[in-house]
Amino acid sequence: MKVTVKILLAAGLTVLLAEAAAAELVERRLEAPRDAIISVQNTAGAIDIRGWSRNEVEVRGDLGRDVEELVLERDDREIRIEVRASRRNNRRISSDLDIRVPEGSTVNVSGVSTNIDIADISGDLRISVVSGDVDVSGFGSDIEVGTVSGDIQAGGRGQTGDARFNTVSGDVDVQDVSGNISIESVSGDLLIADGVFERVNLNTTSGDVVFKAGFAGNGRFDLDTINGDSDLTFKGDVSARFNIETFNGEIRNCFGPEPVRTSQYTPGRELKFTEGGGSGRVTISTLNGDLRLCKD
Amino acid sequence: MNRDDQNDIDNQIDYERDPLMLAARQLPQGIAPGRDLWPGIAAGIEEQREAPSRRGAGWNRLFAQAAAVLLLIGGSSGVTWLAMKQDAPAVATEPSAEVLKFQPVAGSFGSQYHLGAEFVEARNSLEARLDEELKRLSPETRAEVEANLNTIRAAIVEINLALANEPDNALLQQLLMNAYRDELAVMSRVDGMASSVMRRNDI
Amino acid sequence: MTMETASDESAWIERAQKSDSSAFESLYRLHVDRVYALCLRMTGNTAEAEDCTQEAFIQAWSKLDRFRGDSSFGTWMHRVAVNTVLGRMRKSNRERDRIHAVSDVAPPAESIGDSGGLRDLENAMNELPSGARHVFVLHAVYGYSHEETSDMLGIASGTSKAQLHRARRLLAQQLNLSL
Repeated sequence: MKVTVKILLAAGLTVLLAEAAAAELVERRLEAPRDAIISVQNTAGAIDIRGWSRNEVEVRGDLGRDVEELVLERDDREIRIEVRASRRNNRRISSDLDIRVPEGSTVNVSGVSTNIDIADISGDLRISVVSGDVDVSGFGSDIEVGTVSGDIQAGGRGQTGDARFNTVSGDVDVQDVSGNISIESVSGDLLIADGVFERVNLNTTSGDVVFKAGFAGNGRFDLDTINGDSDLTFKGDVSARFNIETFNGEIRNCFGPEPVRTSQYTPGRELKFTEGGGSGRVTISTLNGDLRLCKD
Repeated sequence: MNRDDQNDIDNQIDYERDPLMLAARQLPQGIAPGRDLWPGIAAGIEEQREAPSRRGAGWNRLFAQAAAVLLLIGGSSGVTWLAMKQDAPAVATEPSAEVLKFQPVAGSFGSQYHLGAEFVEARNSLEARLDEELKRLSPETRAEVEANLNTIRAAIVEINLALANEPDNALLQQLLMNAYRDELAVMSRVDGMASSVMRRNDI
Repeated sequence: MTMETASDESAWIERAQKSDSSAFESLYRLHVDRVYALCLRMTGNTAEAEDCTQEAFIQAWSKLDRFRGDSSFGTWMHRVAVNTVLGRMRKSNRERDRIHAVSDVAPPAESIGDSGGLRDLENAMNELPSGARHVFVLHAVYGYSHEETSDMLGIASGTSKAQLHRARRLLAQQLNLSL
């Protein structure tokens, strides 16, 4: 009896160990310049990238069983990291990558169903993923993120730059960024908080918009939405001409002036007024979305 | 404990005698959930396999009756029409969801906007490829994309119906233009994304 | 776990890694109580704990090929569960920010789990702020070292110790203990 049990146990363990050989844990390191250009590709799983002060790229990969290899190669300033799946079997390719890069790097990431987490990079960021979520924090320069259904969360350091976000159904949250921002979504909701903007371009079909940030003098703010509701709070001083049009939506305006009907017989309201010196321009159009417009 | 020295915090605790730590260790390690959670998990696992589950488009009643809608939009620079049909896509294997197909015709609508021939061409070719491109994505993502495209298309129809009453409404014309542009943008982005997927993934 | 169960478990793991879902169900039955308990104590909310548990097992299924036996399967499941809890918290915090921004309705108060058998300590644990609670649950209830705890939670090991200190102080107050 005892002997039988022991053998069973041993057999079980042997099988486990054999399985373990198939999927892989790898760790690679490569010297890299301070201004490296890093591209990372991982079709499924996770990509975690952190900036550090070393002139080195370090990759730790927890690779799926059907992954053929983890590519890490360098050509001068450019460094490429790729999870390469075998051509025949590609079911088990989900892999987690933990990457450290010089903090001044420019980083390009692409994936499909990959969750992406990036922190403490001061170079430009460019991220493209289909259904994974994207979380970027402490970034210091321009950023461009595109997803189809993944949510986007981006927290800057108050730096001034260009931020571009593009999604179909993911939600977008941006905090602590200044300069120019452009966000397009179909049904994803948008939240922009803190920072001061010169150019704002927001476009949704049904996604709601919340904006609570500053608007610089001579700035341009454009919001287009078909059915999304918008809640805009302009923090600090506002100097702008407002031109707002809605077909069926309600407008609540803290700045004072009330909307007027564009025609006696058909729906449609417009609201045009000037606040402060009128140096900037705020243009809003919506079909059915409600709008709340306030100052801090 | 009233010392703030974090390095020594750990050393302060006598795990063998500290009442709090002892009580914590004695809490039941497992707690049975109030109901059997396996069915939900089994469903989640199934979704990850190759089980395509097309979500119905869930059309709003605007299209319930119309087999074909022809709209005339008059503008100062001539007459343009956008023809729309409700199409039952001929996809062999899956139950067909209703997908509205558009065949916008190049020309002017309203006094300010112009739907160029290149736009229509780009749109048509993207649309033709879209089905193939969508197949490269997971069933879930594909369903999301289709639902969102339908959101835009429903908006296009809604705006068109409103325009039928007020052909010269500049806001409606602008919104319609935006909606077409958005639809094109979504299709081309999905196209770009899907082509970066080397092979179909069932994750 | 008995010897028999241990060998059953490794057989189930092997079969589940080959996509045998009934073997995975056996693994589920063996581990669900421990996973659910962890989720419940970390989230403080029965409904959320149920969702977390389901999501954790679904996640585990998709990553099963990467379980290598470095740790026990139970520990591995706990890691997956912790990731699930944290991921869901991030999402729901964003949701709450947005709701809070748009309307004047206050976000709903977190409901305290009430599976009828919670003792004073469980209740007191629910009152802890989330960072301290997470560390206390993993370290004090489940016995993971500070290194393991901080690794699972994605925090520094010094933070883990500080959070434990905080948890103990608050619990002692709540329970009228002198430590």
